Amino acid sequence: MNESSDPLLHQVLAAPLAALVRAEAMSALALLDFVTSVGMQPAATPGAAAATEGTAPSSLGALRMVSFSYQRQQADGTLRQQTMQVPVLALIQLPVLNIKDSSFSFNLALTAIRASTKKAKTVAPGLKRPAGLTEIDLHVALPPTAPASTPAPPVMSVQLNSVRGDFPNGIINLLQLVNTALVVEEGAPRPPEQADGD
Amino acid sequence: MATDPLLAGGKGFPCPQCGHPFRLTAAQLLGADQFACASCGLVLTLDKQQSLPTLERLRAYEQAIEQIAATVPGQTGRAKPR
Repeated sequence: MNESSDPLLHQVLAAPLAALVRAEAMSALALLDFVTSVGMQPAATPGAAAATEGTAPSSLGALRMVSFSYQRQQADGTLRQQTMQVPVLALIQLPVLNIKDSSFSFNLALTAIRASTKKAKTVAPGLKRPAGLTEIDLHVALPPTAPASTPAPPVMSVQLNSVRGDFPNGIINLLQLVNTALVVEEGAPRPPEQADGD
Repeated sequence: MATDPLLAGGKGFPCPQCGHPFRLTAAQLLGADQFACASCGLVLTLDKQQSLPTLERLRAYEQAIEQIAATVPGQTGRAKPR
């Protein structure tokens, strides 16, 4: 095997970290999916709800409501049937999860050490890396976990500790709108004696 | 009935009679018809017919979580709330 074709050490170290970032992004999308699929009706505009996987819908439909009824006694003793509609998002706790900490454990075999002299290069506007800067490239490989006679893939041990997370600001703004959407409607008044017979 | 702690202990809403927080879980919402306020005793009756589309959506999500949890090796329960 050509050792220089092995990945660089920083690439191997960055891979699980990049996976964490992508996992958190997927978690946020899953929360968005929960909010939109459980808490909201499909968008009324044709095509607006046809968001592809991994993208947010371009517009949201009406809030999904849960309807309750109850009898409330008025000042004159009559009972009045009332209905109340509550957005389901105001009722249930949203499953917000964040990664609290993580650990990765894997063995690496150093396969090549190469010094490379970089050419002058602009790394950012107004910031130019000087020419002739020598960097050490460390090429590594994940060694198999068993002798070559019994091939076994390399193993990376991953441990994640996730906790209930804080709500993203966008979700907080959404919930503030949700909490203002509670609707109470009054029915016709009923005399107490009629209500007692029910 | 699913008792997902992630969906349990909802934010709640103010009791229309006394303003005390009315807290329901998804499991309660899917499994019961009436809910009494812990403070004033006002009984709210769930209009299941009116709320059917919402309850079906919530039930489908609960079932999906159950199915996913069943496929995770060594999964003995769901994540504990903080």
